[in-house]
Amino acid sequence: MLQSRAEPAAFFDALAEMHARAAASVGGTVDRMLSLAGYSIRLSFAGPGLVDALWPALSHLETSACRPPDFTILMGDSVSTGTAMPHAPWRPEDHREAGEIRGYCGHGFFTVYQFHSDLLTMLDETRATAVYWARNRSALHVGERAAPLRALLNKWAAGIGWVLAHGGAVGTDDGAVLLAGPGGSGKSNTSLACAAQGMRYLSDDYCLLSPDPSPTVHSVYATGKLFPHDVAHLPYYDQARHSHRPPDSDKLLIQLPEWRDGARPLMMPLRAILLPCVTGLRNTSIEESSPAAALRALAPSTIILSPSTGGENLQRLGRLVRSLPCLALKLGTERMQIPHVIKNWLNGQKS
Amino acid sequence: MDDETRWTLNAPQVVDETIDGEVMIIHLVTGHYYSLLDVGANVWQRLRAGQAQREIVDGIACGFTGEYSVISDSVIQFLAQLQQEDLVRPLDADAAATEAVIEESTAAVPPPFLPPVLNKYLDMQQLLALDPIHETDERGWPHAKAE
Repeated sequence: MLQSRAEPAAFFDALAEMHARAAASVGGTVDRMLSLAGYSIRLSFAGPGLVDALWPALSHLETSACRPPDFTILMGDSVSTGTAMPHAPWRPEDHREAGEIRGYCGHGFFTVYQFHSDLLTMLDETRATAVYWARNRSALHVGERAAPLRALLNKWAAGIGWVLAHGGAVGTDDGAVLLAGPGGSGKSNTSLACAAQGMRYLSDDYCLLSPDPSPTVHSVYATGKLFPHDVAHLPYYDQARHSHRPPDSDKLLIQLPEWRDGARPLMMPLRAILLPCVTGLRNTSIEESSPAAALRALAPSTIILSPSTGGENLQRLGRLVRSLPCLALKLGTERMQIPHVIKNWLNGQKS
Repeated sequence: MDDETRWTLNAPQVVDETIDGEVMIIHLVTGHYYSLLDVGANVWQRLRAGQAQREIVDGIACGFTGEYSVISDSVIQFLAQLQQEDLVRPLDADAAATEAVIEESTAAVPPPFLPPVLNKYLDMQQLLALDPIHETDERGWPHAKAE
């Protein structure tokens, strides 16, 4: 149980000092400014070490706006800067579910250690500042490269009434649909097939949802992931400049092409929640489902991202599924059909 | 537990939401999640409203058709299961009940009683599982594996 701000505040100070020392050792910071759902976020990298690994996923959010940031993230890694992390002030048994650190979450702090990437994230809401520190950039898991800062963005989003949700999102001029379901349900294949056919692409796996006052989806990452055998059905991505396979991954990491001609919007109104499932049938169809089924598809893997925001996020997702049509997307084997079925459904909502 | 026992959600590690009569419950420590329908959802609604065990049994017996003893045994067993899964805990005798509204059945003929079922899903468990920390370095940071 966290008794006061003093210990986490002191540790946060040590991390910020480490970041400054690391930056000084490699010639200063590399700063990037993002605009995410109207908020400005400054990424301050201690040298170039993490830039190549993480920036591609976020680069479409870059802004040249000069206004002061709403939120700052101090980023870096120990190996490329030769800067060790300070002593961990907690005990091994304080590493809890989803990596949250007991005693360092609460009173405006949120601290997570992601074991599989050797990655520490600590947020101080009072200072609107976070530290994101990896032991070694080469140890970053492919999931972190494809969708960096998830734990942090989830916590930050919860503070402003949004949810970083586990779902894909694609759309047309008529609005967007959210694709919700467990791994293997077809979210990535559907999202990337739609993007390949010129539909608007916001996400294949994680996106930001704001349920109020009207449901809206925001793009967070310019990446996607596909199994190599799926690329055979989506030759659009079978190009070296669009994809590569990290050594720790069974999937190809896709870098979505340029945000051209408005095809890569950053925000769209949501019109429906689609629950993809693979049928083995030839044709794709859309059928009625239920808000309860949508909540089952969307909530567990979203809530698990950050247990400490679980209650408020579940309520927000509840409001979202109540306010939108919830439909089953029965995926056929004729993959080129899928985007047309979604486009036709969205087009039909205009009347 | 006795007839006067009341229950409450085992917050903050358990969260719940009800949509169209279906209850979703997520245990944030184990990663298990659950759904309740029909009688199970009705019991949950009463439990969340702070009803005592006897009131829950009586409410279900009024809302569904069946032998009182069968309904009573089944509901009490179901409440015990909810507690075994760490989803609820007994409420202090002097604690204030919540003000949840219970939707009483308006059917002319109450539907037949079917024992409540706790549907349990385990597919999120591995995502939330505690990481196996094998060792820590001299500064206290965990290693993924011995190097």
